[in-house]
Amino acid sequence: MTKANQPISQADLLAMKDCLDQIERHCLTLNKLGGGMPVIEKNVRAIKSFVHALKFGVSDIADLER
Amino acid sequence: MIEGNRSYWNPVLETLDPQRHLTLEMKNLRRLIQYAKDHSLFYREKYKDINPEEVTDQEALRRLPLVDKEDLRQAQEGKVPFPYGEMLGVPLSEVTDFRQTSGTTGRPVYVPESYESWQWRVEVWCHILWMAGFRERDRVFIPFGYNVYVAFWEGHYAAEKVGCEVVPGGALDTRGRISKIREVKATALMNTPTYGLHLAEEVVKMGLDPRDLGIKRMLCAGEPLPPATRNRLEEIWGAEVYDHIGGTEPCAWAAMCAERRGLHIMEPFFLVEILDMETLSREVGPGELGVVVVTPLGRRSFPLIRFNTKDVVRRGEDNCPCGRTSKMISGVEGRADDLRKIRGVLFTPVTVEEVVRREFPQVMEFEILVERKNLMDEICLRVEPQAEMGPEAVKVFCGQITERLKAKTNLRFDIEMVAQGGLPRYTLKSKRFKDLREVKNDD
Repeated sequence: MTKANQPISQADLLAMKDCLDQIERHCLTLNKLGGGMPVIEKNVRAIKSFVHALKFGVSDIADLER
Repeated sequence: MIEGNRSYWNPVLETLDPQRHLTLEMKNLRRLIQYAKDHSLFYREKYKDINPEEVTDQEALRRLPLVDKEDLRQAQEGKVPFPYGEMLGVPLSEVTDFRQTSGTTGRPVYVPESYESWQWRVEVWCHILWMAGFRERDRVFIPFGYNVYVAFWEGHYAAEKVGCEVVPGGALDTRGRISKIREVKATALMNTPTYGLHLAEEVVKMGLDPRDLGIKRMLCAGEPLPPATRNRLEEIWGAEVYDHIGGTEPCAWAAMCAERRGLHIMEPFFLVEILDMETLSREVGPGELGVVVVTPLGRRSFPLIRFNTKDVVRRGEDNCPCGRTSKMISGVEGRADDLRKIRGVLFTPVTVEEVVRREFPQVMEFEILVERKNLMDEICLRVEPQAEMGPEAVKVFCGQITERLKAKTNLRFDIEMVAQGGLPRYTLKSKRFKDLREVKNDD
C-alpha cells in the first residue's frame, strides 16, 4: 500500500478500482435487501453518485493501466 | 508549499500523460454518444446516422455536429417533458435540481441535474477549489442569493466537500455582507469580479481597508476576468484571486492553479476543442485565438456533445510549473457574441476593460455605448471616477485614455464623465457594453 506522499502505485490504483466495483455491488445488494425503503434507496443513490465521480478519477485510469 | 499527494485533488489524474487523457476522453465520448442516443430524444434524432464506435480519432470527432444554445432552446420550447424537453437524458423522476442560464441574450435554457450528474459537477468544482488553494482551514463567504444560477451552488457544495466551512451571504445588502465577513472572520470569497470591486468600494466607504478583512483568496465566477482586473482585485484585497471559465450548460471546464499564468482544462472530465474562428474545423496552436467547443463527459441528465460555447480563448503552452499535464488556455478574450464590427474594426469589450483596469486606477466604474449617428458608428466610454476630478485633471485624463484606447482598439472613443455613483453596480453578470445600433435578441 502506498505511503502518504509517495506516488500512487499501479497496484494501488487497481486495488482502488476493485474497491469501487465492490461498493457498486454492495449497493445493489443493499437496495435489494432494503425492499423499497426510502432510507436505503436514497442513500444508496447518493453512494452510487459518488462512485460515478470516482470512476472518472480512478477506475477509468486503472482500466487503462490494466 | 509541498503537500505531497495533497498538492493535487487527484494526483493520478492531474499528472497523467496527455496522450492518456485523450484516450480516456475519446473512450468516454463514445460511451456518452451511445448513452445520449439511447436516452435523449434530441440526440436520437440528431445522431441517428452516427455509430459511436466509429468515432476513434480527431477527424471523426470534427465530423460530429455542433450544438449551440439556440439548438437547446428549440429542443425545449413547447416540448415534453416540461421544462427540459428533448434534451433530458434521465427519467423526469430522477431530476433533483433545476438550474437555468441567465437569459441575458434570450430565453433561458433550463438545465436538469440528477443527483449523480450534480455530484459529477461538484467533483469538477472540487478540483477547481483545490487548485485555487481552498482547504479545510478556509471559511468561505459567498455574497449572493444564488437563486437558480449554478456557479455559486457548485462552489458552495464543492467547498463543503473539500472540507471548508461555508457561509452563505444571501438576503443581506452589501454592507450587511461586509459586517458578516468581519463577524465570522471569513478567509475566502467567491464572487463576480464586478462585485469583488464593488464590495471593496463599500468597505472603503465604511472607513475600512479591504486588506484588513483577512481575505486570503477569492474565486471569481460569472464574468470574464482580464488580467488587469484580477491584478486590481489582488491589490485591493491583498488576496490571491483565481479565475475559472464555464457555463450553466457544460459546467466549469477550465480553472487557474496557484501559478495563475493561465487556466487548466479540466481533463478528462471534458473533451475541449479550441477551434479556429473562421471555419470551426481546425484545432488552433499555442498563442492562437479560438472558439471553445466542449463535451462534458459524465453528465447523463443533460447530455451535451460538442457544445459551441462561443467563448473566445487564447490557447496556452502546456507546461505549467505546477506539474499538471492538462491542456491550457492562456486567457479568455471574450465571447464570439460580443465581437462587433465598429467602423469596420473588429472590437471586443474585454480590451477596454483591460486598458481601464490596468492603466487608469482613477476609474471606479465604466460603461461602453455604441450608437449609429448620421450613418456613422460612434463609441463612447462613460467613466465614473474614484474621486471627484477638477477640470484640468479631467482634460488630462480624457486625453490619456483616448490615446491608449485608440492604440489598443484602433477606434476613437468619446469620453463622458459621470458623477460618482452615477453608473450601475452589478451583483451577478455586469452589462457594461451596450450596442444601441440594433436590438439584438439572439442570447
